[in-house]
Amino acid sequence: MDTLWKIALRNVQRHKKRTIITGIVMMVGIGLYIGYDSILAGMDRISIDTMIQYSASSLKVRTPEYVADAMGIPLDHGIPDPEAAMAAMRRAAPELVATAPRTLFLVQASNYSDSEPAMAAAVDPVRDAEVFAVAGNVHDGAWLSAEGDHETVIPMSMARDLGLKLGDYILLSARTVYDNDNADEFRIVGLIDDTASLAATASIYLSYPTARAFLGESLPVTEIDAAARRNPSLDGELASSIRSAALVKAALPALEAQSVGEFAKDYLALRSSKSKGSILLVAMILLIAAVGIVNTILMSVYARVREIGVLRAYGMTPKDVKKLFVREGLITGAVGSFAGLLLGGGIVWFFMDTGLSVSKIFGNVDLGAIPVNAVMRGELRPQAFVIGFVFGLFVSWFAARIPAKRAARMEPTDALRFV
Amino acid sequence: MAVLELRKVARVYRKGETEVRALDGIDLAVEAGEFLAVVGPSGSGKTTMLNILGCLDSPTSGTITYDGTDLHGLDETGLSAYRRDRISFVFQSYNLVPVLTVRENVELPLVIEARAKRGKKGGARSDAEIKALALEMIEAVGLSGKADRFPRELSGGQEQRVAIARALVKKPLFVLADEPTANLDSHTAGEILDLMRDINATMGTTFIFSTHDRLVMERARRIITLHDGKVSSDKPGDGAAVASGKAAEAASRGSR
Repeated sequence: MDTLWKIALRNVQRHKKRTIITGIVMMVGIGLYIGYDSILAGMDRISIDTMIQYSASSLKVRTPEYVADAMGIPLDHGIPDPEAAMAAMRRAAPELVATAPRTLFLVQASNYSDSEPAMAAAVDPVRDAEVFAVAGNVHDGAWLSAEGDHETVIPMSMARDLGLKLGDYILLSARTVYDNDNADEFRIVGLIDDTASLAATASIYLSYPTARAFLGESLPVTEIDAAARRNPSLDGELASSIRSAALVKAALPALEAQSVGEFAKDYLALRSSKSKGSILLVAMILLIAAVGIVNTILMSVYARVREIGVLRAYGMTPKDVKKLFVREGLITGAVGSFAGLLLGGGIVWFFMDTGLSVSKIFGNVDLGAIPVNAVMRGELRPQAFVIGFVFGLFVSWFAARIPAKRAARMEPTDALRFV
Repeated sequence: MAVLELRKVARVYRKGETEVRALDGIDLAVEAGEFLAVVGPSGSGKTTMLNILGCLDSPTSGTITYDGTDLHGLDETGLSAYRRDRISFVFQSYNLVPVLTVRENVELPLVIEARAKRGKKGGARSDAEIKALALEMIEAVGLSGKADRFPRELSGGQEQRVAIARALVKKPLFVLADEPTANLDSHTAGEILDLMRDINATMGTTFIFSTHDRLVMERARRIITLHDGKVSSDKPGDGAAVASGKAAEAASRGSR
């Protein structure tokens, strides 16, 4: 081993307490950064997954006319031959594992005395359950069946507000495909736990035969939603969605295919600023570590003034003296950074393996995109480990240069006091 | 022939408005193979003289010539290089690097030299050569078997022997010894000085001591006394009587 490294390494080993104290500060800084990054990624995952499972799906296909007028929830821009379109989508994008048709429409839901507006969806009960998670959140009763007539599934909160229960009838009124209003009664066969699906686009569900009987036999399919193969990382999930959207666009040029990333644009922008915040957090912690490293190396310089004098007297250049102390700082930093990786790894492992219940942390506060009953889990992001380690080393190198320069500037005559 | 010559060397320090003439027009010539002691009261200029002889400091005026090379005007890099190649030091408090073993401490001057010469004409010594030279020198100072010990495991006398081995391993032109016996008991001090005198006799290395120690003065063959930055006397020491022709012969052999 090179002698400068040897002296640096042995001095770090010799002053264990100093090394450990500085290393602990670095470990906490880097460990927290990795953990924080993992939790943020986990929260992002929950949020995006919620969008995928309840509203945007992995990929949404609509007509360009519908997209242009989407805020008006029109019924007159349906997808021509949706079955052929779904088959073409599956053929074009092999990552898509399921597709389902949907038609959104606005309703007024009433118990004959009180009413409230709501978004409703006509669905294919079987295929919709393959794409969305709504069917799995039926708390009381059952999800829609393909054969059921005049059946509906509504959210528990709406049932509570309107004083309705499972088996009761709910009066829905809506504008039909013929542009007139219609009203009809539907039996409530299932109540959805909507604390888990706050982000769901629709709240009332009807099967297509029921919806067509209600709104007109020519009720079109206005959107096709698709589920993609599950990806272990969020970035992979988003990339897969973008890839599939591009393939579907190419296969169905007359239709508009939108990836989940397009629906989550605002959220993803927020995510990038959160990530900058986490860098700021780690920068502050590592600044404290940097002060520790400056102090550690400065103490080392003062304790070894005579040694510096001897090295200089024997012809060691100021540059090599500087290198010696910078290496001590780097070794201390590497030890701290490595310990930080272990701590960070532990935090990530805990959040991936066990996780923390969102309601335990935030109570029953509405977090928008994050369902209250979710378990907050971490994501394994190797880049956070690399950034943490490299940043730790850089801070150590930078901090050690300050006292190292002082050591290099020391005059041999001052360091060696001849009598 | 003189291998070291100081001509009208002066060193002036300024402390605010005050001017201190630490050395005041020193003339001195040192022959190869000398065993020379510089003595004098505190503040007489011994430290400054050793700093200048060791190329650790430059004179304010006057010239200093080593082995025919005028060092006047050399910058810190040039002085470092000269120190690295020609001069060694033995200190009062040994100043071994505590985290290096005996062998690694002795290797240190050669390692520094090798780092500087790496890739240059003439090349640097290999690790194996450096190790072999260090072990040879450790044996010469009577510390065979202790090469892998750390300084904390040695007695004061043994540490000073390591310092001597470190000073001699690169076969320097001069060894400047700053009170090398001040921290040793008289018996050990005598042993260390005898070792240095033997090396002086066999290898021809020039030793220049800064000292107050009677034991050194007894063995020195020349004693220079400084007073207020000037040479007040320059006379043969007690050691001159025991000097054999071997030292001069070895010096002429070893002189570069």
